[in-house]
Amino acid sequence: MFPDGHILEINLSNQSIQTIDLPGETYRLYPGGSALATYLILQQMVPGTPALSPDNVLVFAVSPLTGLPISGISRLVVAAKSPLTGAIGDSQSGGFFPARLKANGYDAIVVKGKAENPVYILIDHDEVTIRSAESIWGKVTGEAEAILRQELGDDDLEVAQIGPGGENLVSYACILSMSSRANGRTGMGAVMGSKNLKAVVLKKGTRCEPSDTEGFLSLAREAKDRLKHNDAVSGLADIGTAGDLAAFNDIGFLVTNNWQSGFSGEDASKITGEAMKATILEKRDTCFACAVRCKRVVSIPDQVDAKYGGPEYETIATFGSYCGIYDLETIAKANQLCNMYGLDTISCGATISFAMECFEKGLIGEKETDGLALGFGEAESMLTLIERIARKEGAFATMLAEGSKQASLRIGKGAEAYSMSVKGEEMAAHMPQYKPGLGVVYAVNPFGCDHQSSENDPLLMMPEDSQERIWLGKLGILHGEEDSYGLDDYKVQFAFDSQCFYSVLDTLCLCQFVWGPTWQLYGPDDIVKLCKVGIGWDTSLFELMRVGERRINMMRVFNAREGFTKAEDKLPARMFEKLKNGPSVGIGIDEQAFQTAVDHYYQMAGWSAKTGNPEEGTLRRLSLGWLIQS
Amino acid sequence: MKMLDVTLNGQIQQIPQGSNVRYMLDEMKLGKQAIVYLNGKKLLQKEYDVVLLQPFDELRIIKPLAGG
Repeated sequence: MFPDGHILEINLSNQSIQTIDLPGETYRLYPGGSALATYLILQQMVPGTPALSPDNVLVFAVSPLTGLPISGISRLVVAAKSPLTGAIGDSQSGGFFPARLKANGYDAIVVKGKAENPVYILIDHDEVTIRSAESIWGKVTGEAEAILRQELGDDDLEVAQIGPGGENLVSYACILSMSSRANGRTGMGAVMGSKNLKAVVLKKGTRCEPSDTEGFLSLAREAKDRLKHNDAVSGLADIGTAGDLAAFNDIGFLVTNNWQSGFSGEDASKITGEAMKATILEKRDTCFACAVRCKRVVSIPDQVDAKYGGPEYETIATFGSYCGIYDLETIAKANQLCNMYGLDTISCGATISFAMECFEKGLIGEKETDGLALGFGEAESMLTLIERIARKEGAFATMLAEGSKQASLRIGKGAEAYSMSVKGEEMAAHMPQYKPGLGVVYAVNPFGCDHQSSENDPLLMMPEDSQERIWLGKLGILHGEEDSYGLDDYKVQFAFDSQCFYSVLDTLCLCQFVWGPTWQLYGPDDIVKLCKVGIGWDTSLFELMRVGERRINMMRVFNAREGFTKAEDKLPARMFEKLKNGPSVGIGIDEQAFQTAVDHYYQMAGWSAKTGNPEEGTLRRLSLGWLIQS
Repeated sequence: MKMLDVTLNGQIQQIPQGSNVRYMLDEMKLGKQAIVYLNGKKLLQKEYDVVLLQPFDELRIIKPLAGG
């Protein structure tokens, strides 16, 4: 038996609140996270609905496993049509909010309509109320959370909220819990803001119990021992996600100056995870029930408050090497501003680096930037610009608030070549020139160039008897490689199959640093076991891979309904140029080989060679025949 | 302590005689998540502790960089 799903549906236009049970037999096909969210959006959103319209459907989702006390299990998906891309939007975050949502009895919250005035939703099990957000609208996240605690007289709250960036409909506004855990990508904060919804607030929940207590506890207790013997995850715990930043630079693949280079020289040593640990790191933080404790918390007296967490690798890269800034204090301030105002650090930093290149190349000057000198390395201008973007203050910042692609179209003069984006979403800090398989997924992924949607090419180089290769073998990925640069059919299969597996993780809402197909603490077989001991779901890796593939195809169908085709599955032209300096000099992706790889991906995925969208047979195989009728 | 010369990623390095591959990984602060080529042949992880390095061995050690 698969548990029923409990969906809370709220229409902010008419203030209606209802709970809907999703039968277990249906829930099993879309078992949580972004699979469940996309299923609900496909059911309820009319194609062609503008992203910031009241009719967009915003879904917060967890999974049947969420809330069980084991490492890496507290992840929240927020999905809706994206204002940044016009495609399906999708984002994940950790913290305690996800576990708390499940502990209040809900697998998902569906929010439709638009409140007349700003509101927040307060959830205490079956007691759900829509309340005025007058006292917190316009406040930065840390301040708003403090006011909510005071007003409700309750210090034990979990709050997912937008900042002024979301209120002002910045296209890449995010949603934050703990003022530091972001559903960052694809602008879900703007969708929330468009509904006049400031926050979702959760009261204390009821402990979630596994179906097989003894089996579950046995699996959960293994985490500490596995952590002790796992160099990759223990390194992540010690140094954080920026642990590989120096190594990326050493081989010439640290995004530098808006992707003009992959090499920052000796400057990179100033912004590494090790440098952060030695200077501004205050402590490590964690998510619900997790033994890893990978989150960074930094502080700088009178400048950076620990309550806004600390910069992760992506944030350090986008506000650091992307922008030519090699000062951790500046990067920590930028991170804090984004977490206060509710902006995605990747898109924000990358959009500013785009503007810096436009400035340096003379496409814009101080007249256009509202007086800001904006060359690479201009730290104060960058910090000023973040606040202006969040507030949409001035014409220039308002333009950048739409992301680099839209800004490039407005600037003209060839600026589009400097927007390092796919489907309008700025690229995360993993260079496709080094990881072309990841590059294929950057191109075809339905919600934009996500770096957490497939496995990284270099892991195929590991020896055959490594955990990485043994676990990949469980997915049928058997072919190893001598370097990471290949783009043959084996690589495309690796990209597709690992994407399906990561899609499972984003469906079951499992953390990719704890559960995964290569270096993590728990592998593919462990996830099957978790489903059994956690909720009594007697599944298999085969069924789970189908779940992952089904999610991707649903998202692709969503995009097709919005008019997307293979024409949008393109990397920026710069990826096909040869890198000009540093250890990676001369390396670039062969454009013809890349296009062939994308075509082969479509064949493997069962997508049309003409449109890039799922064939009917593919949808029928995945129990998605109902989408053909629609 | 007797030393011997090996080449590590193109650089000549002196190491104690009797050192195994694990010694080199520890020196580089790498765990077992590493790819090791010894004289052009990729080693299995189970060989890291048992293969003793010989004078003039050529080692190439690569850390596979993933992401997050």
